Amino acid sequence: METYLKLISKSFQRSIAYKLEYYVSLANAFLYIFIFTSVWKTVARENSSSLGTWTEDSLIQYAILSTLIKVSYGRNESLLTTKIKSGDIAYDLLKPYHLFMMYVSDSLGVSIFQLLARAFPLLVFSFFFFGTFPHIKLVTFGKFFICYVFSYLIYLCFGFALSCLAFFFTEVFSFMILYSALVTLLSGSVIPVNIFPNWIQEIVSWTPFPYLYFYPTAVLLNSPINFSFEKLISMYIFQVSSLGVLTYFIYFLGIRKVEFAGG
Amino acid sequence: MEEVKIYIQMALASIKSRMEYKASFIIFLFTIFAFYVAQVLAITAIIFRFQSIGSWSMGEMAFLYSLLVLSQGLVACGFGGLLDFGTLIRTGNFDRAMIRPLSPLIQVLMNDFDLTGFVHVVLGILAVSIANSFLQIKWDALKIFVLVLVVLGGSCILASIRILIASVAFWAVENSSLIHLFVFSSREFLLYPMNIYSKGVKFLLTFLIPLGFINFYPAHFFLNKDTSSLFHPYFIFGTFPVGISMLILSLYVWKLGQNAYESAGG
Amino acid sequence: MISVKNLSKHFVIRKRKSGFWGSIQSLIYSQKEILKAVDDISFEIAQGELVGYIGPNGAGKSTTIKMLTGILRPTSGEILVNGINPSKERKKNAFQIGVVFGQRSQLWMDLPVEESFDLLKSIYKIDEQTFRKKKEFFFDLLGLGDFYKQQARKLSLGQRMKADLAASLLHSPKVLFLDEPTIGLDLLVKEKVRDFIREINEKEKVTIILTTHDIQDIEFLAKRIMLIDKGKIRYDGAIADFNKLVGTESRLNVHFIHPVKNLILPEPYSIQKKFSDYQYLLNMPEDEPIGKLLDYFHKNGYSLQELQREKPELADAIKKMYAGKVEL
Repeated sequence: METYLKLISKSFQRSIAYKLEYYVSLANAFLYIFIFTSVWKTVARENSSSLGTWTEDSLIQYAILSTLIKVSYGRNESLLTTKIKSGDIAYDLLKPYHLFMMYVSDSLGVSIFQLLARAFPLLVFSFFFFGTFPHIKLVTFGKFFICYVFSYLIYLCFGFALSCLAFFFTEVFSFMILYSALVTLLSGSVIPVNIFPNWIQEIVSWTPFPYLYFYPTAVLLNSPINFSFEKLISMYIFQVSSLGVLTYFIYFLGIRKVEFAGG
Repeated sequence: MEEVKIYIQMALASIKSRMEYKASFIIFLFTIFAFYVAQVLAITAIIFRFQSIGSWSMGEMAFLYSLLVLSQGLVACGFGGLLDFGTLIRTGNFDRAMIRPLSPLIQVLMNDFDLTGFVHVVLGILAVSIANSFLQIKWDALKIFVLVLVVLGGSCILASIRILIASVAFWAVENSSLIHLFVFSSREFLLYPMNIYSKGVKFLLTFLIPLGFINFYPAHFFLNKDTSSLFHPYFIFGTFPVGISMLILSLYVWKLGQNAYESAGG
Repeated sequence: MISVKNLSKHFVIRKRKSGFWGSIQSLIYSQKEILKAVDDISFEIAQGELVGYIGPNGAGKSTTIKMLTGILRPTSGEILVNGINPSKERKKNAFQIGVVFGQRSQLWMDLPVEESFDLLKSIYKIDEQTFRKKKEFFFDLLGLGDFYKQQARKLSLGQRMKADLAASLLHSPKVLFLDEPTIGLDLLVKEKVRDFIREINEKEKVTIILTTHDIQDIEFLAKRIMLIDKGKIRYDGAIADFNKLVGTESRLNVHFIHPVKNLILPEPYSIQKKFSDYQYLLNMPEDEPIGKLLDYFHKNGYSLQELQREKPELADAIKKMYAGKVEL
């Protein structure tokens, strides 16, 4: 346990080590928030009658909150992929900890940093500049938190699975891009999925993507999502389990490949 | 110049190297395409739902997008090497470029010349045709000539930004986040017409980091849009001069950086 | 040929604090410190010399080489390589120098060696005839033909090193900088490489500066060494004189017929190491006549089976220097 805490701390320190990177990434996230809130502001003003359950204010809140969730995840696929590519992974496989747990600890370290150092200041700045802070009841936040934990698990699985692809392919970059593309389109990171007709929502809900951003944010803002909270949780469990199995499968095959290659 | 032949030879060598990995070459092409398609679909989804963004219609947005992507084509091919420049410096592999009797910058560019950047040009042409089908732009010799200048100018602006950000590596070494911010994220701004942004940002994108000249300003010329809300109506012709000026500036900063180069370890 | 006057290179280092809270503090500010990597050094190297440039890690070797090759600009001082200032006339200097970095190859890794050579031919504007002659020369001396058409990435370390050596000499440079040229190579290849370097230096009169941690390379190839430590040159001269200066001694490997539990020795001999009651390693000063010791053994009833003398090694002298046990 202590090992993992140390790993989290080291990962946190690593995130801080680069001053410039810190300030720039902050600017980066701020930029995205700005663009999306501008888009929604414009769109909402021109189309105030056809927004469904959304208002200009709530759309802006959505843009800010979903981007903050994105920021809180962080980005650390490179940790494993560089290790696998260079072969350093052999050292990690020798160490007395499970590779996945190492990945999790590292991600947690990065995420804690992201939450404290980026998400929090961004939260303050964004609502100051762009919108009004939404009223969130404690119960709602509790529901949101449960969803967030599941979403984080999905994020971890994706990240780990993608990294493990490095066992099989020299260039994992393409898969990262593909993943990004799917996220952009289906996860609701920009557009709340429930702004589209029901049949689209239905299809998208079978992929794991909207569970990353759309559902947690929608729950937080009390936006209607087509099914009960209980059903949502069961869908989360379904998604996490199936993704988890797939991830483990990829990892397992990857480790097997290393063991057979040797040298 | 004799040197140009050498640079072309290096570029060809780079293309040849990449061809060695046929499988990943094709996968890469496919995924880049998929990425852009997803990006476009996301915006299209908004426009379908709401008819226009900032009073720019579907066709106009497509045209805006096409100018952006066409400019990216040249830059993606020839200036991809700069994206990883921080690593080149960190591993000490840039030293080799300094030892050869050639321009270190052009070596970095040519050694990583990537034909797959052409995908952008294809996408751009696709986007222009889609825009055309919505808008019926009257193409004449002047418009085509201006289009070429605009794409060249836009490429210069994008290339200059990459050169500037890469130069940072000479001093601070870790510039990967800057790359992400200025090269990739900044594109997000250009996907939408600038008039939806606040005055401060419009100022930023015009006078500080002149990205607006890549597609927003010149689009007014082709689409005959009302220029009264712009800082100055003549800006719609500014792409090429702005591009050249930025290029000169960025090369100067690169030179400064090269002289301050501290190399890796010792 | 190479003239260096009062050369200095200073780097600005940012000090970071470690630990959880330290890292947060560093986010706001950090202290600056000046590192004098190279501190006011001067030397001259004549055409055709082969100089070993040695020093502990972080001593300033690579920094010096980088300034000589034009990669780094000096903070102060003057460098002239064949009359050319490397950092001011970078391109001109590039035509007259060759560089081999042991750890990094100059070949295009995804292409066959042949293609790399073809590119270099164009880059250095080598005419067809000269190129062919050089190629034959390298094929002959380094066996380049065995892997000339192979992709550089697939070469063994030995093959890659040979190719890099050839590549660096293609344009007939007047000065060759070798940075760890034999690192990681097996004994056979090492020997081949050393022979090649010696041949190049003696026949073609190429001035060579050899930076390496492999002392055998130095002993075999160089007659003159320059030792740099903490940015300053501590020794510049012949290897033979260096050993004398540092005062390393010969060693004697003695084997006794009958076991000797406690060996007592006369001045100025001492025991370096006891392997067993039968075998001892003794320290013996350079100019001491060995007969004295033999007489002593005979007089005191020590019966000798075998006696081997080991001459002082440069490695020992350098170790002593690195350990700070010597003041020059």
